[in-house]
Amino acid sequence: MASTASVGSVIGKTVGSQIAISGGAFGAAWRRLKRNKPATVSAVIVILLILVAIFAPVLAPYGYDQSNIQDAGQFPNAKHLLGTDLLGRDLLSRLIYATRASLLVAFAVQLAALLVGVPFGFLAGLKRGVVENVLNAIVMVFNALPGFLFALFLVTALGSGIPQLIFALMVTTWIGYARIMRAEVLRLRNRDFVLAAQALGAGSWHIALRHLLPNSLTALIIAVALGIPGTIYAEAGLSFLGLGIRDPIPSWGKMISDGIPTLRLFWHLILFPLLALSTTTLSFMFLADALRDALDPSRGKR
Amino acid sequence: MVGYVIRRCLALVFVVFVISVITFVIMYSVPGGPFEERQMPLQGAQRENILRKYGMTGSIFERYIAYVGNALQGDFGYSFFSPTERVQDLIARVWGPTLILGGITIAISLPLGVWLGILAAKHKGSFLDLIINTFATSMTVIPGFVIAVALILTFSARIRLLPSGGWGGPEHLVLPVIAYALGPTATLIRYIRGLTLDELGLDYVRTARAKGLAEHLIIPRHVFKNLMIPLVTVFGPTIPLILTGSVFIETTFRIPGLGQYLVSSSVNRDYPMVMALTLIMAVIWGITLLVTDILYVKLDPRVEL
Repeated sequence: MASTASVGSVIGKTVGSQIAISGGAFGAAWRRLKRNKPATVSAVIVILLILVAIFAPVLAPYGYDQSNIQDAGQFPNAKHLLGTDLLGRDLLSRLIYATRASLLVAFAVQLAALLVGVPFGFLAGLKRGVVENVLNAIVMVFNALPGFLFALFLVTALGSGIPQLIFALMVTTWIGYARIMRAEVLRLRNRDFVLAAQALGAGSWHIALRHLLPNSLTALIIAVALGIPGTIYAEAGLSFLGLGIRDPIPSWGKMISDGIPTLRLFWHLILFPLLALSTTTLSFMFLADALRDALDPSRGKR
Repeated sequence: MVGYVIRRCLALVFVVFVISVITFVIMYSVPGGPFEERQMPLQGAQRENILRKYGMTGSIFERYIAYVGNALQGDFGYSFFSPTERVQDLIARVWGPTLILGGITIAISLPLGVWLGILAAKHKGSFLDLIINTFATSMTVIPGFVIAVALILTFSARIRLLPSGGWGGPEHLVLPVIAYALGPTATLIRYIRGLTLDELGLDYVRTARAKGLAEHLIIPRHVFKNLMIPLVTVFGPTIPLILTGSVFIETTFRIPGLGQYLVSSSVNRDYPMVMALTLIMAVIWGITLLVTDILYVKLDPRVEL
């Protein structure tokens, strides 16, 4: 019991550098993850995508709204590697900036949802009486809201744009993290190491941060990994409907919907954004699946 | 059991009440709307009449009370964009096509997904498994709207076999159902495949083999029953979503269904429609979750309420 708690708290500080330690629960998970070929490929793609998102201004050969009307509607060529759209904007540059927008929204939504959901889950799991009932009622209401449609309603009410989009998707995402955190707290609450900490006089914040949170990391990491492709998908859907990311900032969903009317002639305008979107969601999904299998070996071999 | 169902129904009433308040308050506090000066320049008395017709006079509190009073009697007011029709009549009219489409989609994707999922698990690692798995994975990442466009291009534009859209005869159903069913089928395949593999590794399967049960009987007699429980909890909640339609499929194939209104009413600020649709969704959703939980208890004798 004590050993899992300490490994957890080590990982809690720096997941990235500590994860390679041989031995320990996360070390074993890391080795399992490396053996999984699709997962390794996905991880490389995910890292590349994150780098593309960060260094978009350096990597993009043109600006995302830089339009050259005499170059309009070009197919892939040496000057424009993936061609240009009907306003003469370089498609590759737009895809690179769309990666940035998409990942920014996806990560920001998970972060915001964690910041709301995790404390909420703690409270719901630890408190008793009136607080518990109120929190349960809130969970019940949010459970009854169909996610995508409620996000859509919020975006139409708030107006489109990246901050509004992040807020709307956060509102429909946080409840999942709260539920996971609450379940973890209920699972761990009566374990010996928590009882021991209580007996030593630790306060509830100390127990939450030093004992419960580190031991819930596995569940939260898996949930975040699964949440990212879901958010990317939702953002693409909203942008496809013209409600998500606002012009001139490019978005894969918007590029696909813009390409549909001229699909028979300018196939590249829809194919490349589609490939970018599918590759991204697929990589994140494979990585999430692999993480789940690696971190939770009790699920058995697939 | 009866007490549990009654408690859950009371909870559902509470949830629907809270959601109606949230929706109402958001709609009320957002500026703009179809009757503001810029959209519809009207003189004093005319303006008052219009606002009264749509129940937009008085404080938010009075409006809400009036709305709920009418809604409880089955009157959801007039749609802003279809002024001659009451919201409930409009919804009843457009829901038909969506229900037909969604019903066929479920009837196809549920058995197909379960069958292919089990098939892939049974032949794990084989070429068949590879094909099924690749298909399922690619269908879960390609959005439905793209599949819809690709289908129209192939079967309507190129070989002119089927209509590209519209509503009426059975030929109008083929492409939308394919586009609509691929997503849920693919999700089911992936899910059922994983579950079946988990189950096949368990002791009771080994016992079944050890006692000499024929290999082709193990899955239908033993494994299938254990698949039912997660199937109900996972596929159950997606049913109301399928039955209320997809805006992507319905706009692409020009189907006059409910799914289009879910988005267009919200974009057009057609508040009476938004309100009615939100409440309908919340009620259907709540009932589905309740039925799912009851089925869960019926299917798994270990679970008690």
